[in-house]
Amino acid sequence: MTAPPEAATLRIRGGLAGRIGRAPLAVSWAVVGLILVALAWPGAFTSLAPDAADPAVALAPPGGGHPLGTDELGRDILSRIVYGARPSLLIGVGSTLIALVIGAALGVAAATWGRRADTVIMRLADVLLAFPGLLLALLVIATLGPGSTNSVIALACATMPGFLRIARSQSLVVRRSDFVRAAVVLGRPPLSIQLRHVLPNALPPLLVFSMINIGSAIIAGTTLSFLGLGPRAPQAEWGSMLSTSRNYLAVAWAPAVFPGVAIALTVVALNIAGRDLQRRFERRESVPRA
Amino acid sequence: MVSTQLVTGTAARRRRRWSRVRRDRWGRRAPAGLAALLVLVGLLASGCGGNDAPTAAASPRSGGTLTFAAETEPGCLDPGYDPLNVTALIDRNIFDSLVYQAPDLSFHPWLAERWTTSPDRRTYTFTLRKGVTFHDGAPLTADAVRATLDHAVAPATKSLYAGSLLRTYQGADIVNPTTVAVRLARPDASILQALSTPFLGIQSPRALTRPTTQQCVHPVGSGPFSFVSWTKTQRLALRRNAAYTWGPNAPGARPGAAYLDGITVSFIKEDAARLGALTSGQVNAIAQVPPVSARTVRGNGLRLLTDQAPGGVFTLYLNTTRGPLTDLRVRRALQRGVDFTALTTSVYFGQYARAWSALSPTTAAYDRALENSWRPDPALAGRLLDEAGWTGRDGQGYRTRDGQQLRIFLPYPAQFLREQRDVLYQGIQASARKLGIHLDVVGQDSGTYTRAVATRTADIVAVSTQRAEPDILRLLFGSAEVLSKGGYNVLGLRDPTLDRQLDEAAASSDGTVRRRDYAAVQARVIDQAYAIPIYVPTYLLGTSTRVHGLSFSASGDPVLTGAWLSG
Amino acid sequence: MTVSRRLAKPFLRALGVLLGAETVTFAAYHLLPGDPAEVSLGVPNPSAELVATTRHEMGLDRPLAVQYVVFLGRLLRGDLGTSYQLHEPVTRVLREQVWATVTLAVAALAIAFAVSVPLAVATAGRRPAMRGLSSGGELLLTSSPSFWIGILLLSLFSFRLGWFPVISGTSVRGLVLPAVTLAVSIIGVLTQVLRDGLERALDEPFTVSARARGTGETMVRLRHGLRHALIPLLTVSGWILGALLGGTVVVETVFSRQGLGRIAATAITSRDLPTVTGVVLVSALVFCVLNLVIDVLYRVVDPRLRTATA
Repeated sequence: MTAPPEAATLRIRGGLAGRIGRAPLAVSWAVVGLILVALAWPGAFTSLAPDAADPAVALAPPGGGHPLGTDELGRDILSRIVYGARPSLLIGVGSTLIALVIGAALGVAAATWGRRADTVIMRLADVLLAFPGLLLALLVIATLGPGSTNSVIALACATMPGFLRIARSQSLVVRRSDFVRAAVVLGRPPLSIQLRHVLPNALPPLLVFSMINIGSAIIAGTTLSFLGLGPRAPQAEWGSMLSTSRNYLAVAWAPAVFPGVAIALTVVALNIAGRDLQRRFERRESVPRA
Repeated sequence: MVSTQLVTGTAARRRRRWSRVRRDRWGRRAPAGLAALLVLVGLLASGCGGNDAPTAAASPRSGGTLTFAAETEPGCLDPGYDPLNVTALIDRNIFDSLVYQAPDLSFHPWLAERWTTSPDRRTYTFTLRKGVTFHDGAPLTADAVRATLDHAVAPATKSLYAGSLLRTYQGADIVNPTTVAVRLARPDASILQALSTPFLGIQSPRALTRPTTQQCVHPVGSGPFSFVSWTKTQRLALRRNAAYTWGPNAPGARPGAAYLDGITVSFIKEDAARLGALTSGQVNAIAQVPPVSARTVRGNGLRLLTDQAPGGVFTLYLNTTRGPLTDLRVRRALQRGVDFTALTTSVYFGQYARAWSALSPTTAAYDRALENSWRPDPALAGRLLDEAGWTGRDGQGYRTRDGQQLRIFLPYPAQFLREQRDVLYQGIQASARKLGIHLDVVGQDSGTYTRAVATRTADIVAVSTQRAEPDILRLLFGSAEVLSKGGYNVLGLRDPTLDRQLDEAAASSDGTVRRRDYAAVQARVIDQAYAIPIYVPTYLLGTSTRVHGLSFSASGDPVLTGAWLSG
Repeated sequence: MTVSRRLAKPFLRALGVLLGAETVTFAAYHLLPGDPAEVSLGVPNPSAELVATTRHEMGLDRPLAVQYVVFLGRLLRGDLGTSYQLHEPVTRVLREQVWATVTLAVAALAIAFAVSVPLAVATAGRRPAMRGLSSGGELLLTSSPSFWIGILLLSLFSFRLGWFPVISGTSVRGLVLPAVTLAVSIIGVLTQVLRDGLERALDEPFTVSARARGTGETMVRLRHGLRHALIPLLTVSGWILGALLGGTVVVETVFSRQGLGRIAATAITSRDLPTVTGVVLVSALVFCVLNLVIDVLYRVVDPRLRTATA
């Protein structure tokens, strides 16, 4: 539910990254590609509309005109999964982006604006970290109300402290480096130093963390939808599809299985692709800078 | 199939009964505004009606604890406060009423041995049975009756339903310790029916002096079972009252002590889990078997008892005061453009009957002529929308007129969602989309929903209203019965023709005249597309084969008091 | 630095964090749209007088600063208000529900360790195929939402095979599927962390010398390796606790189990803010206590830290 701890993510450095086989890597990137296609052009996968109900074929098993079967209103499950990628990924990517931007800004600020700012910002992060991620997200939704946008805000709040901490520790390292010291000595304005030197150098680990965070944010987002707090019907969404499927477990298995497969496949692919990216970053970084 | 026959049989029985219905039953009983909305939310218990469920013929056996899984949990067990069906179901075991209403709708003595009505029909004098004691040892006296009724109407009680049953109540006079006279502001023929409900079950006067919070969590009555414990969100336990000898001696009731040693009610909101608890033998009986599983229940050697709720069926009430639905052609297009029969069959797996009239088939004066009289006709719907000027199309494929999208707003209270209505709404939404209508279905929290309804920004209000009298039509469509006056006509429909017919029906004592008038009302509601009836809410009670003697009360709730378990 | 001063600092920090958490919930309560008085009445369309009375009863007509002080004072006395939904003091609701959740979480943790430790010991530093298979499985588990795993287990073992009850109640058999579901959500990370710690420890000189002394490989792993794998485990224990607490919301909902998580989930849909506040505060408290304990444990487990701070 909650994002893996930074410790766990950073640990992956040099751990698993080097050992992913070629085949899973290729498959993962292919899945990421397919997801991008589904986001941009869902019609490529299915000619059926996700909200076209046909009560006559409700809860049909996979086969025939409906490769993955139909749901309780006779809507095509494949189509709903393809169109459902949009809200599910929007929540994952959107919340991560917001968390990244705010977390990076606050983290860099904490590292460079002096002690008092650092204390204030870090105590704030501590308060947010005192809540388990999902509960924090639930608290936000309890006050803002359910819906896609509020899910994004809720998850951004829940994951932001992680970004903040990484950004801060990276900036601290960069700040002590020779070229930043040189810039300070040369009398460059602080903001320009932050933007031109500190931030770009703190960014790679943040981006890697983002990639992996997107996966867990997608899971958290579908969890919110599962609890009935996500996008509004008839919008197809993976979590709410699974939630509804519970009522029909006794007569149909397809609605309870395929949306879950979609979530797992997406998150696995994003994870492996993220680690691959991480490896590339590290290789580039090991080349000494001119 | 068993259930269909059973239900049809009941409907026929009720219709036959119609001509014999006592004059009393024509009295109007409308709860106050607050309770009225709760009715609309679909939570309140009903007036009268009901049927007998089949029971096995073997001879009853004493002992054992019945475990029953309910789908909702009471907020409070004080019958004078809480409005929920499940509260009525539980409190019926704990509290006795002054009078008993049998499934055939006739009234019988219970805690009142007999009663008389004053010539001006404004005073009912009840003579109480002797030897009745409450669970706390206090004897039944006229005091207890007065205290109970006063409690229900006291502002401090903040009653959500019971108070509205006593809208005409002025006060009670203690004639002597066993005689009490109930004074009414005006003749109210529904008062006996009101007094027969669990919501006005007689409470121990000693218990009523406790703080309100105590009454909520520890009810004290004189019924066949006494309260033992209630663990919130989990279960509630009742124990047999061995001293009980004052039950009604009438059909559907049991005069003596209960067969069961106790009753345990557990609260399982999730449909699948509740059903699983029954099929795995964890409980003996469950409330509201999900329709999708009705066949599974029968296939697993379990029993399914069904009861069609009387009163107003589940209906979309259309807003004729503002928005696109002021146009009869648009209302008709929605009414004829969607195949509600196919939707009902698929969403409810054939377990709920399709409704053709705003009135339930199990209600007197139901007009059978409406059945299949307004079949779906999407082509007609399209023509009507064209005629109404909704000829443009926007980027999403919805119809437009003068650049405005044909959007119809249907809010519902998400917290009180039941009977998979969200699935039904999505089905209607998908069909409406084909017509080019944007049906905007929004699940809201109850506060927001109330505002949408009260300010009439909702284009459609979708509810069912349980009540066995055709007079429910007046509460639903009479122009005076707006929300603030305690009626159910929340969208403010005004139709003088309907008002005239409804008034005439209410004033007439001639069964034929009433039947004719009510038939005319039902027909006009469909003809003018004021409302779109969809399905007949049906109680599906699942039990194991060990359970016998379960039935449905006059108000349509399962009655557990007469149950027994075979070995 | 004395021991008491060393402990006082994290303790004060924890107090500060709790105060902050309380302030966040207070703000959520009062600054955002929706009148708490109206919500607390729990009925549609309450009359204006009733709302006014309730507002007064709840002290909402007083200045916000006064309300904040009153709120903190009540918290100190352990008064979290009354649940709108259950009509019971929140503290009592929490007391009634907490054990079910603790039982579930402890059972899940036990299962997770029972699976992760042998898995990590068996696969650390071993053949790539076996290790790859194991880490692939772990990745799949961490990538599957636990509500989905719960639905699959429920559908297979309860509905189709009938091995376990559909509603878990209080029986031990009923605990199995929920605990397994909750355990699955942490097994992946737990195994990775343990294996990583083990692998690092196995490269250390002391394990090499142990091997040289002729100690068997399994013994080396269990005795020397595991102890050192505990330190990274401590680092992620906060995450594990968060995953467990968050996971109970989902697992208790899927399996219709009583407990804090389910209470929280239903409280949120019905906007029962006192209950939400209560659950959130309890979890924040648990988190702070855990962080304190970790701080102390670090010093106990890792001698290097002890000397470093001394």
